[in-house]
Amino acid sequence: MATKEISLDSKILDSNDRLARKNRERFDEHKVYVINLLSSPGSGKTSTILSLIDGLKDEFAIGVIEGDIASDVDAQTIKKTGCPAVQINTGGICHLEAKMISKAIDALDLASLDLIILENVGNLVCPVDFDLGEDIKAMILSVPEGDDKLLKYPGVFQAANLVIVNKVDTLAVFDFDMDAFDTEMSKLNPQAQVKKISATKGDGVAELVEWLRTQIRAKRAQNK
Amino acid sequence: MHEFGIMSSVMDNVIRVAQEHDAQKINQISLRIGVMVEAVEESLQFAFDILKEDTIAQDAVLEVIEIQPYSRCIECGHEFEHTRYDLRCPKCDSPLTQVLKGRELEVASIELDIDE
Repeated sequence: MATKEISLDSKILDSNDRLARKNRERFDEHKVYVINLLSSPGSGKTSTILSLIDGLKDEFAIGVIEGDIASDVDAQTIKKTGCPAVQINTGGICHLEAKMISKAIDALDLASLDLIILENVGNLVCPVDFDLGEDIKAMILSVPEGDDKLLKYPGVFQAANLVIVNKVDTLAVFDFDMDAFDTEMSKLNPQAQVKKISATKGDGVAELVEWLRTQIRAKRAQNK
Repeated sequence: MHEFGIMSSVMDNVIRVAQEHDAQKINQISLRIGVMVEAVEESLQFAFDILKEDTIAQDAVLEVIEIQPYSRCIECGHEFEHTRYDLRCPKCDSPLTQVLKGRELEVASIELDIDE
């Protein structure tokens, strides 16, 4: 009997990354801009999506993929706007994986869409390292959750290209230190776009919509 | 507990490699885990202890090598170690830095018992 050490140097999530690359190729072929949206439960993901649909639907065709552990209440809400929505039930799994997305996009007509929002499972930890094939990761932090979420869950804030602070209309009643948040954010992820909104009251939504409009137009204008 | 999913990918991979080498046993599995990814060593260990049961890795030890963050400034070229909370260049304060180390989720190596 001999003992042998074998160097592998292999990426653990390699099979997910491969499927994510395939998803990305499909999105790129049709020049569809894709957002992977992360946040805690109750941060206002669905209301934020509704406000984005409202602001962007005049120019772009939008599809939504909803990831939840169970139920299809969110997909039903989205469908009322007239946008196609596909519900993924992860059946207990705490995050979306690239293979779930590749199945879900079969149910969407990619050629007719300009923007797809992937609403990930409400969770600030598990979805962070799973690439789905998106153009950007966006995350929502709502004011009632507190500014210290950034120090408790640095990974998600670091992985996000766009950080949306939602429910800013409630700043007066919660102990949320916006200056502390801005300072920590500029160190933790200095390249992220930070947008402050109230999805239900409308504050800041126009600015967020305009930023996204520019991103989506840039993708539409890309040469394959 | 996405560490279960991470650890099952590890086990599938290392058991396949061990079988390709006609190994009798896996003695050790070494992972490289960056400080900036969301994988907690205790949870990886917990998942490992359950998943290794009744496999050729059942007596194996899991080693987790922690990789500290290390980045390069795109503007001034300075390379620096940092905590996971501060990515700015310590030399010129530029926000345009690129993480070189600290996001690893890798199987580094395995140690096998092989009949000669």
